[in-house]
Amino acid sequence: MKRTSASIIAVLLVLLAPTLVLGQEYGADLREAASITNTENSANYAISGFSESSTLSPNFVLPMGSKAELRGSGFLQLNIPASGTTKLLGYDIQLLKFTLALKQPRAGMDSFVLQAGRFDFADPSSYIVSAPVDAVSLEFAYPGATFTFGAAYTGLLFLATSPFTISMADQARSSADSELFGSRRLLGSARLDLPRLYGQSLSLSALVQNDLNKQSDFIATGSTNFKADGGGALDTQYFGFTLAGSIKSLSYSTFLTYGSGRILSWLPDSAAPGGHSYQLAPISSVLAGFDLQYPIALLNGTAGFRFIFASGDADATGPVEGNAASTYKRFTPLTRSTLGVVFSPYLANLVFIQASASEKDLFLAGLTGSAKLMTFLRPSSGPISEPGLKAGGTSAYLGSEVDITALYGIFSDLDVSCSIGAFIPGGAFDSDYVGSKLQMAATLAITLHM
Amino acid sequence: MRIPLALIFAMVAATFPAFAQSNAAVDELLAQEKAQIGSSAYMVLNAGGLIGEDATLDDAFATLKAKGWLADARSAEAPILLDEYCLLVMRGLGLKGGVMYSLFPGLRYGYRELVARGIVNASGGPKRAIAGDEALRILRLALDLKGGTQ
Repeated sequence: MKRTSASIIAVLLVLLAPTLVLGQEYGADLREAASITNTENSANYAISGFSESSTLSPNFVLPMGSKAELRGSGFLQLNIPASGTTKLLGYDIQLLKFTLALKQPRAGMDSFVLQAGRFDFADPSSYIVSAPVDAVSLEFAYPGATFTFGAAYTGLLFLATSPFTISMADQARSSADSELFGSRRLLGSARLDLPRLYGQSLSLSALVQNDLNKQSDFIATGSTNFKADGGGALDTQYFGFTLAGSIKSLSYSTFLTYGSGRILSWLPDSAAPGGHSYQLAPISSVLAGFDLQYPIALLNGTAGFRFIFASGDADATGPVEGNAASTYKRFTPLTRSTLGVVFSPYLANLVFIQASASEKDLFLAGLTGSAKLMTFLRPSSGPISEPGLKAGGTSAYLGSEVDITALYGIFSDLDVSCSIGAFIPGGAFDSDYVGSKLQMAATLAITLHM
Repeated sequence: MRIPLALIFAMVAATFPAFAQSNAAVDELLAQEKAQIGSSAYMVLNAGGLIGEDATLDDAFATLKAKGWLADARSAEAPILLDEYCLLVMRGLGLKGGVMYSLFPGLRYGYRELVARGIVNASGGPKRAIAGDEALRILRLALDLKGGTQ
């Protein structure tokens, strides 16, 4: 409790100090949300859960001359979960970014942008990593190309809100809940954006992630004692390209990423007493996809189609690490992407297909609505990040989901949003699993921008 | 992109009931690198119908002070700050605001209201002086808003 209070005060001080001292633009959003979930399986019809959350998000903007500024935002969230007994408090700084932007700092250079602090660190597709982290980014824009280099550290995000839980050690740290900060990982990125040519733009990128967590948290390489809940250091690298642009009214973006790295694996070892030992194995994985958007003038909206393929590993023994073959083929994203309102697994051992439509001002000025139809498949019979799959099952069909969301601005500073989703699990799920027939979720939220 | 001054003049002046009397005031405001309180007040109060067609800058400034919309220590020649101008526009044109403006109709929420409606560029913050052409552009957009659904 003492640690929590101290942390909250620290967060508030960081966010409020510039505002209080310098009196610049500041504000806060207050969001009240209520959610209800409903699950059904063959034996158990309706298990409903009602949860609430209240979130206060203070923010400020501090101009520093014409070329620099400091921006900040954070959140303090009180969750009252479905059980209704334990209130959970979440808090952290989401943004504390210093930006220096120089136009034509020297001959032959268009611009230079420096960003430092805590801000959203994302790869070009945003499917590998997209989260607020403590980072530095340098962008050098020349007429012929733009180079962007970044470095980030995840170890100062609070444990309760850190989205980086990609290894067994990360999961153990979360479960133990004995430390203040989350997983310690160092990220490095490099990106090359080429100039638009006939409306098309190409970018090449590389992302490197090094596990800096304590060695004592890991199983040592060469160990011959199997530990179901143990793992090792997980280092990964990603190399890819993104091509985006438009052909007449059709906008598109497509990406291909090759994932490499090394992972601690339980592999056959003739020299080991039990015939197996922990060894490092290479990772060789793929993430690919495309996104299409087409405007529908009649409805003042857009129709879209999205396809994402994330490779899987049929030999994997668990959704996190669990490699038992010479090469680990499961793609390992660093953060979770939001896919469906109900079902949103990690982009690992997954094929995601989505058709969507969105409209503005259809029934009412200020009302924006969207509908999505999604199908989830798994490319290999290996595990996915979500529980409930049939043990030993080989069905590729994970299920389909329909989502409807709406946002309405009642006033300039008050809006209400609603999202409803229904996921119908497929043959890959165990029929005894809670929610194997139907999973539903609905959220109603109202936000006041103060 | 800077909008040509002549175009701004035509757009704003066309919205005024007393086109001829306003010409000199529009010219004067457009020429100001930092819009002055007196000129700004004249344009907004005139557009809102709060001063007569034959009113002068002094009349506008006096009206502003009489309504208590300005700190007494400020002179008509002093530059007006963005948040002050936003509140002047909100009050002068009788625009309705959101929840926070309705509860606290002051500088802060007058400024934020016009930012939320896309009329004001928030990049420089609320405490910056504005140029005459920017003041006229804000007024024109606010008049468009008033003429629409608000």
